[in-house]
Amino acid sequence: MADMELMASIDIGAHSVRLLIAQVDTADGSYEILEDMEQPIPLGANVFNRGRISSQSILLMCEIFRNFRMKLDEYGVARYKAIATSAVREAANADIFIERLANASGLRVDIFEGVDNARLDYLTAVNSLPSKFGFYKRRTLLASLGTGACQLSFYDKGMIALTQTIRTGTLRILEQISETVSIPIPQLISPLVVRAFSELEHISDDLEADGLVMMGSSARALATISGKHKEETKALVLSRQEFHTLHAKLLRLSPPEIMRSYGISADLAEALIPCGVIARHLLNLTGVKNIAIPLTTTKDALLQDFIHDTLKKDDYFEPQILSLVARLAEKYHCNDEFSERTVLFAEKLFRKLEEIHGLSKKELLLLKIAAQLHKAGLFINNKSHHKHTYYLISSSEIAGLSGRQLLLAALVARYHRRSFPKTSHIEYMALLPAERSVVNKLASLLRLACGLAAACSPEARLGISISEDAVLLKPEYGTEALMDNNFIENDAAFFHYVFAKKIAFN
Amino acid sequence: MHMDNPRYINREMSWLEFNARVLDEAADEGTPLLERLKFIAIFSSNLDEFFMVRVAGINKQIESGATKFAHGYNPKKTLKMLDRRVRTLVSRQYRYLEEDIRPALADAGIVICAYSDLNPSQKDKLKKSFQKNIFPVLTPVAIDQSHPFPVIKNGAVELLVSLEPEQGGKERYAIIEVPEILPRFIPVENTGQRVVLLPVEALIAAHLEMLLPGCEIQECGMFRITRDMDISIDEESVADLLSEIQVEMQKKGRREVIRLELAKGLSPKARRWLEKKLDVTPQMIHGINGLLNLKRLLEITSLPGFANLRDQELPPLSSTQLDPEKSIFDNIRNEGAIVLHHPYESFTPVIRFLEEAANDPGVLAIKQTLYRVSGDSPIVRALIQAARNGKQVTVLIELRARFDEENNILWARELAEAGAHVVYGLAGLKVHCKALLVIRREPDGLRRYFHLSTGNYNDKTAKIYTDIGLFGCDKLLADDLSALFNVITGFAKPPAWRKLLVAPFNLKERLLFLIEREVSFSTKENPGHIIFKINSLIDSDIIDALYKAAKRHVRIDLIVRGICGINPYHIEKSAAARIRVLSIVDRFLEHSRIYYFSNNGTPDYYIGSADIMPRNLYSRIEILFPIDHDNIRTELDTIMKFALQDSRKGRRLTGPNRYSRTIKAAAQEKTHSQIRLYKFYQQKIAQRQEEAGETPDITVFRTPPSSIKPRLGTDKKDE
Repeated sequence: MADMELMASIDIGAHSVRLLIAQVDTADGSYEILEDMEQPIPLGANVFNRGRISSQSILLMCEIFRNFRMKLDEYGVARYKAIATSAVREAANADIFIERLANASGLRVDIFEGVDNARLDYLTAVNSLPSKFGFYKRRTLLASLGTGACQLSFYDKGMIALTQTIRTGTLRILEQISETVSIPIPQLISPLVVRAFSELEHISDDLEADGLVMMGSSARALATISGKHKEETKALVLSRQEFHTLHAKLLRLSPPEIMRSYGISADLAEALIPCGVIARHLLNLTGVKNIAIPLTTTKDALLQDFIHDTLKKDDYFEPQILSLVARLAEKYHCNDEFSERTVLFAEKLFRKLEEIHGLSKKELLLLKIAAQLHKAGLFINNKSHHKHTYYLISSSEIAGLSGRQLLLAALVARYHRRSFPKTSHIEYMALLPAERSVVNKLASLLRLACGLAAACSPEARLGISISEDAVLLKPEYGTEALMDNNFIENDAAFFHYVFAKKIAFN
Repeated sequence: MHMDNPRYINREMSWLEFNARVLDEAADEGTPLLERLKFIAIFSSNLDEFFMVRVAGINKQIESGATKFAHGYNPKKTLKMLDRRVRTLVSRQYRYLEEDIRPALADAGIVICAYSDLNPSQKDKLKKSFQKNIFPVLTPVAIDQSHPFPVIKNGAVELLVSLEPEQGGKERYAIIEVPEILPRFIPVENTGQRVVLLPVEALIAAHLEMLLPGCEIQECGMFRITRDMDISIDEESVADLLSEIQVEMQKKGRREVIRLELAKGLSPKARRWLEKKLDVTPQMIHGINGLLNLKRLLEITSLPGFANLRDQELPPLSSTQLDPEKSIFDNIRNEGAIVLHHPYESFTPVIRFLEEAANDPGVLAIKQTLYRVSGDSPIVRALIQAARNGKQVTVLIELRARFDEENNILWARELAEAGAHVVYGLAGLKVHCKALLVIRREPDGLRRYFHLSTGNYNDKTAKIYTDIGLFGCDKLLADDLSALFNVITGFAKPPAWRKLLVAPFNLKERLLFLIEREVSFSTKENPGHIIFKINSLIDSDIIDALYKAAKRHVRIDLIVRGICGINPYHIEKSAAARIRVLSIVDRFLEHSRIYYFSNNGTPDYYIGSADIMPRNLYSRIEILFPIDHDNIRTELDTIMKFALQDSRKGRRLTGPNRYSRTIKAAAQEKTHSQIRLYKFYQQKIAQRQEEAGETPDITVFRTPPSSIKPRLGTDKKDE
């Protein structure tokens, strides 16, 4: 008998809010959609114009959320993930808005950060691109064009190399010009697009790519009007020439004409012109030969991501995160053999000591990131380099990691040496108690791993076991220094402080 | 017939011709007498509704100064044509009743008599009955200078009594309403073989001195008014549709009078007085030579006995697709799709489906649209039970279902009190589709079961309307239905429909596409074929598409019971010959809608709630759903074939808005489609029983069979 569970995802976008309810086979994560609901609501227009969500929209959204709640109760859905994207993220009254929704419906909404989108974009790309597109063989730019932001991720042979959020989108760009002219024309949009994307050139000197993948509702609308769109295709691939023909056709039509001719909504018809201009700019910037448009939506990817997360499967995006971490390590010159060894010891300690720390795979990832980057601060200065490490990590953008996760990783790295966490450390005290506990546990493991890495040769083998009051290390091979110099005495003190267990040798 | 636009038949004139076909049933000598009487009543009931809604609507248009309405027809001219035709038909109705049916009924033992026909002992007996049962509920209203003219109820029979003038010669009148709660016919004699009935107003008229003591009665006559009952509410601006409709219903006693029926016998003076008081124009006055309010003749048709005067009963049969030993859910899952054709097949499984759902612990939610439900509806009872059992029950009750508003308000309240989520429809759109969705948790996950129908969830009308219902659990259809309920409960915007055709979103566009596709395949050698079995066809775009298809060799068979706006006689003869129009009016009201497109050999079948009228396509939520199962398609083929072959009750369009008559078609009985269909379902049962070996030969053992040997020494108690 299949073990089925109901899960739901809610996605608050700039134009609409969407609810998916799915029946998930917990054995393999496959799912069947039972409800797919969408309600239009102009949050983007509110926020990009006036900086906040209007009272009218809040009331309307509360009503929609009450209905969504009723729908979730109807099916008896207990697990859900509700997220809000750029429109809410940038609203001055985002917190009030989210609290009102929670009061009205009991549903908790998380703000989705731009970098979170990179996960979903990757999921969308791998699930929908045809193999002949060569995502795993060449350099690809994924551009997820929203109403308020454009998330760009460069992938080299399927591994992420660079990610950047550009603060422009189809609606934001129209709001920028709508005060001066009534009908947006491409000539007015183009300079705005060039300026918004110019920051890319400061970040990387290699913006060339072999393929461009455009995502987002306006890009899908572009696919719809291309006439090549078929129901069963997961992604539409247009050659450069085909795109230019389509774009030229679009420029000849006004939004009302687009609406009438292709039966798409007014919002999308308006978004098509900026979408076309941005796509053309990215084509020129990257020199790609073709452009692919996946036809599945964020809400599908969000649901898949949530299912993946709920079923505690290995994080499909972890290799990408580690790839970005490796690039950071390269940037800050800490991709050395010592750091690699520290990562290995940290992971080994984490796995062997699971029964005393009780942490999950998510925390292991933070430990690995902290272990890889713990020496990054040396790039700034040797003095207090652990503090430099803290701000370098916490100021970075790693796709797939939330700001909170990055902060935890930064603090773990910060406490790899010198002082233990103290009440006078503001960043540490700003954490929730559970988060502080995680930082303490991971930092103590990292500190021990650093000691082991310093004392042991790369080929070292070490057995680890746990007794009532101690963790027993059993040197097997390549651990002579450890035995002779008692290298890890200082590092073991933090471990003892956190777990109340000594480090002893068998 | 005058036609402002010969491309389309005028909608109102077409409707009147439909009612003329209903009236023909009363003239059909092959039809049993009480059934003929029933059609007299139905004709009147239909006509009342026509006046209350359609004529009222045209009056409003004329008042607003409109010179043109749908299809370019002039409202004033239309009203004049309608008036002429109504008067002809009504006089024909009274002729059938008075000259044929009443005498024949009297011969058969059912006599409707006059008070003067009674003997003294009968009169005496009736007087006592009058004093006891009728007198207490009557309220005579005298009208003079101190008593204003009273509010006259829509549709009730009223007695106008002229009294001795006051001092000074001013006329005095009294009005007595015959309450609807009273039986229309009072039995004078009932021996089982012979029943003598007296119209209640005649009994009241004979006892006026008791009602108006001390007054000198000069004359007494009957009249009846019809009011404008076309309620229109600005739904966008009302906050609470339920209260607004209640308010409108309360106003109905004061709505404008649009018809005054006057029984013969009133003096010109009394008539003039009444006309002035009611503010009616001569065009609104209909002199009636006989009884008023003939729709209440239905009471006579339900008299016990007289089986020889009625149609042979055709009790609903059980479906061969349903195994009564198993739950409906198991049946649906095993069969994939189950179709029920009412009233040939019983409506009980639909009620059972809801009752099982209400009590099944696995059922999480039930969603249903309700348009017209019966007075004591088992459907609503099951929904209330489900809500009380903690199921999430969502019911969309269409409060604006014309003439059922009050009934629906009542049920809406009861359901809401039981904890159901009751929705009163969408602003500007009546929810007319018939859909029921059940979400059930099963061992292998959630499954959605549904029932879709061409007819209302009404157990009473399911015995007289032909409707087709489909049970299923197909995922794509269930997805569409979930989305449809989300739209009609305001939870979501309309999605891209995967299997359903939904008005006002994609239904018309898809129908036009399907007709166009037929055109694209059709050649002289390989003509396309379209069959619509519907109730009304009036949308000009669809009619135009059909004209075009006929010109491109597509064969078009239209089985349209009621309004039919197509006029093949204005296009070239060769194309017109490809359009066949047929209307079946019979004992069961033809109500199912089937749409067939031959599609170059891979036909498409749709059934559903939608007719081809602008109101269905633009201002109602309607659905058509595809039929994919071969066995059900074959059944639909049979239904359409029998209908098209029907020369007994099928009237063929023979000229613009002119149909052949079947009052002398008794010899065509073998083509009688409704009887053939009943036999078809009977045969299906017999065949099923034969396959299941349920009718073994009966063998009587005269001696103990050899297989049974009595055991020696067996105590009988042990057996």
